Amino acid sequence: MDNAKRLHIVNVSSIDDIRNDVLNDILHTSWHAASDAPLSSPLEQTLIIALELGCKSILVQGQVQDPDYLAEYAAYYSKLFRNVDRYCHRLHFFKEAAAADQSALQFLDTVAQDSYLGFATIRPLPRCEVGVTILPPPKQAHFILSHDKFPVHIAGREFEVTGTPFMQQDNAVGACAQASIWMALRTLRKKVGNSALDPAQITSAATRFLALNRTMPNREGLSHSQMIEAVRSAGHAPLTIMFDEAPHEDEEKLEYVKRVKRLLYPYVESEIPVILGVFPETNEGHALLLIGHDWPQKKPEQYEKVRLRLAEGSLDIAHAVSWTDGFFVHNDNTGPYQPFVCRTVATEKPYYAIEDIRFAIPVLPNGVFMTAQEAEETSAKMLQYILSRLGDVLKVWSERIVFRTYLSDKHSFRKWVLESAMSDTLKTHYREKFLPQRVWITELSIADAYQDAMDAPPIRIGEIILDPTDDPKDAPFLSIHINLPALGVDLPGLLLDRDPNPDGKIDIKNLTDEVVYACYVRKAA
Amino acid sequence: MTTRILSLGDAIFEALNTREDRALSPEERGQFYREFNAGISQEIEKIRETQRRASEDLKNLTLA
Repeated sequence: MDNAKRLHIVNVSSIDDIRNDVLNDILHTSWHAASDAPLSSPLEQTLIIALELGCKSILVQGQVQDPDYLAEYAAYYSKLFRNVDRYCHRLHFFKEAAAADQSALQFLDTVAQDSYLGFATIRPLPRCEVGVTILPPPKQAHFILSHDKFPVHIAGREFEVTGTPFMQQDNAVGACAQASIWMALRTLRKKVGNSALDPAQITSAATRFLALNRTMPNREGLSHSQMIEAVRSAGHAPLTIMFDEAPHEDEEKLEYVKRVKRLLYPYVESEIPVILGVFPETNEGHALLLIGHDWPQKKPEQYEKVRLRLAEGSLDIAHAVSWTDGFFVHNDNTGPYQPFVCRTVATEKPYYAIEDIRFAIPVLPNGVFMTAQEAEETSAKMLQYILSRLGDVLKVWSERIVFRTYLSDKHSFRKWVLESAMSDTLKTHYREKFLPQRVWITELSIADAYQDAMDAPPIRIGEIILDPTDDPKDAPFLSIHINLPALGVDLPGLLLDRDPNPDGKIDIKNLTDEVVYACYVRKAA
Repeated sequence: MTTRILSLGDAIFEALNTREDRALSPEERGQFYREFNAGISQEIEKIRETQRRASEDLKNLTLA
């Protein structure tokens, strides 16, 4: 290839521009020869997101030796009789337009770092062009929590993109199941330190012990057991959550959707990608990757409740899932950052919806033996013990406290503690406390301003820290803090500190320097 | 002399009202752990039973 053509820069302002000035030169010739040939949905959605993010120019990189595509090539395409290109194209999206007559290198040498938006890899395959793609989410996708920061190198310049890696299935080396597993593993690679298998390795790992058919081409997809094996072989501890078929009556269906959301929500809050197996009535099963949730306005009467059973009766507090109507998924069939909602209440009926989930696989890190459901049950039970004699607290707690559970590694937790406005006594306690690698945290916040938690005054009034390696039946809390003065109760703050070792102590401490601090707002992509 | 054994709730109530830190005695800890276990075991077993059934039901689901 002519070196000058390895990189070129094109200013764009619409999908038509991109089609005419970029794609017509690089998409598979015979398939896209007609100028009105439809773009595949993942490709079109990727380009729409880039334009929504403010893309004004595309730097087109040719002869890209993409490791994931090269693995697909070695496993399958190299064995075809006809020629299949070994290389890909990569489209790098920038917010700045290039000056007239500026070469690609001149543009690269002068463009600002923060002008870089992200990239899409274009495979030389018809109908399944979209290879490794990383873009930030569009603005309407509020909380994309399962994401990471990725360095990008172009001709000696280094840029950076924060997002959730996306890939379309190639329909020969892998189907939707492999694509979803790839997206999950690639998102977690740096954070967790485990391997991120390429699509060919995923198929190979999945079918190592249980092959139901020939393994190549793999158009039949993977069974649940094969998916678990592939994720496990990459060093993670995949958990399965099973759901019954949704009921048929609308009212029952809504209750069912609430239960499903509540079970999945803590994993999304924990930045853990969740592979979903969806089975709509009219089609075969499909895999999606759950990566975030929305953030709609809610009124107190809409709160979903956590019921605490006390000797004097019961007390309802609000579950944080109340502020989630729907989720965001990467759907390899339709594109990145797609809304995933309840079909029963949606005005435009989606093809795949929460009602269709039959199983979910949160890609848990190793060493988390307690599930989110068990952690929530344990935290609620601990609250029942603590509140059993605090009658005054009960009067002000009802419906006013939000209960949110998430998994955090101890470094992130301590970093948050260090930067938080909490009292010095509490800060010292958390920074010095001997903690396992990860902890389940149930955060307690005041509901009134929870909606505006990102900009509002601090509203967090406590947390329950659980040991995720322990058995929920053994009261596995490590620390519990409740800022009682913040609730208008005439008592000092409470700190319960537990040494989990045999004969370990349980201390009850009074905190006299309490301060209300901000709840943990995760850095969404 | 008889030692009082308080429940966790009562011990918290006493510590906060007297403003005096305290540790649970070994007997109080034992009582708390036994009570907690009895109070949560049924719910946890229910969650685990659902997971056990799930493993059986999932064997034949394929995603393409």
